[in-house]
Amino acid sequence: MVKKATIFMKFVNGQVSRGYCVNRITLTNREVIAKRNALFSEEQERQAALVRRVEKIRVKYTGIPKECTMVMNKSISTPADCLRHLPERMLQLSVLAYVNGEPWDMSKPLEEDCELNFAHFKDFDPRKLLTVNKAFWRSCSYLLGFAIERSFKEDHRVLLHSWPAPQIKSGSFVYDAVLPLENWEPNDRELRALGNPVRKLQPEKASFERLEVEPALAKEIFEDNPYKHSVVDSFAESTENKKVILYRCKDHVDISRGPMIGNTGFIRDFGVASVHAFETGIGLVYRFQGIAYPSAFTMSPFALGVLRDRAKIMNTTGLPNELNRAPGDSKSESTTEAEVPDTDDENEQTTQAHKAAQ
Amino acid sequence: MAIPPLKIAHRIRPKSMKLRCIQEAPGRVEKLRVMLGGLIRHERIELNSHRAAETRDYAERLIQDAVLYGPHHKRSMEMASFWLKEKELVHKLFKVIAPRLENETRGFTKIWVLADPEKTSYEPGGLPGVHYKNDWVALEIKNNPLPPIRPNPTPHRSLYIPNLLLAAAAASIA
Repeated sequence: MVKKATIFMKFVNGQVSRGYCVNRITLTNREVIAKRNALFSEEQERQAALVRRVEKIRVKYTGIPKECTMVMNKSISTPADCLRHLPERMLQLSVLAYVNGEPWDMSKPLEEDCELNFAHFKDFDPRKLLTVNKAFWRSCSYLLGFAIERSFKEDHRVLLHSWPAPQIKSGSFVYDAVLPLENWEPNDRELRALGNPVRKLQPEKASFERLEVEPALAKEIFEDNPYKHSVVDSFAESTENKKVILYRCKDHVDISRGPMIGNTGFIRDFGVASVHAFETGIGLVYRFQGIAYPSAFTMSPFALGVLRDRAKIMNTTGLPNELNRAPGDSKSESTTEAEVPDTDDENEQTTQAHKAAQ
Repeated sequence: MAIPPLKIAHRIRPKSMKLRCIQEAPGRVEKLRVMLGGLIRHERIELNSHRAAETRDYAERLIQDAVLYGPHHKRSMEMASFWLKEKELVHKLFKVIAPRLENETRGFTKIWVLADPEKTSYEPGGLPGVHYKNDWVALEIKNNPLPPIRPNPTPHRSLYIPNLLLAAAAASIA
């Protein structure tokens, strides 16, 4: 009987190539990132190649400055492409698309004739505003993972765990990660360095790419991370078409239900405020907490200082049920956003978290 | 007899209005007569905010007197026939507008801030940062038969992310 082959990536002359090996080998952080990125690109190209014939759809834009109808390509054109036909001001402001009244990622292709609109951080519709706010907080959590994976040296294997559903009122966005460190307490310099990779992304305006993949491929992508690997199945079961939703920003790939904001240009003053270690069923987990705000606003250094001070206190969002359970445990209400449905009632969750903290 | 106060907040102008009227005060009175006549006749007029505020005070006074004292009150009738040059408008004031606004408690007129006509392409305000630079307003008598003016959308500032964060921080400190 042949042993099941596992895939790994080789670096040959600076290029990533795909090979097969019987024994699993341990990859460094950078190799894992490159491998995920390569698999994501491969799948993206494969899915793009499935669209053989270019068909046209009529997209009715219902926002300002005036209503219009655009003829776009089916399964190819995205809301971001539609934005290019609108005034530049719309391009600068629009954070999230709304297709037939439902939130829709900027990078998700349009599939049929539809009605299109956009939302921004100062929207007059409170429901849209709440969705945009959550998308911002979720994207910040996602990018915190981006920063964590790139901030440690190669001899420190970083395993990203999960992040809780966005809770803006908790004062900070969160990412939990498992590090091969004991009693690590970062100093101010290290905290500042942790935020650097994301701060550099703001002028780049790197977009969030969305891709729906089969669970088998998602498992292949996350085979080096047991925590992500274990939530793939439950995530796929909870979606309508039994697929896993992946997001890529630059070369970072992560699972999330979305939606995300359009690009990283909307994030201002991203910073990691604190790192707290806590004991769980899977061992020591580090909780990274950060703070940022949308570029549509300006904040005084004093106000921002107040928020940063508050973000230094440990954020207990999503913790009470999870402390003693491993992720992927079918009984657990996991902290992974993939498994916690986004509830509109932010207050309820926050109060629960506060009660648990007391 | 003391004159009852107006039901609207009186606008106090801390600086000169820079009126460029050749006839000065009498010319201003004449202009006010024209605007008041237009307001009573059409029930909604568009003008700049200074003139609207000034006209509004006089219109409120006329309508309030007409509602309180009716057409048989000497001073009210004198005032109305001084400011409204056409007799049919005096009739309309006492017989049409005054009965209609009998139960109004918060003023008889309303000012709507209109969008900058040059920037109407960015209205109705889906976008933040639309400014009414052109200082253009609509002054109307309440309960008029015209189609209503659509109010400007109100921003939900308490839901902006910095405000949410600061409110939560304030609550945690207190």
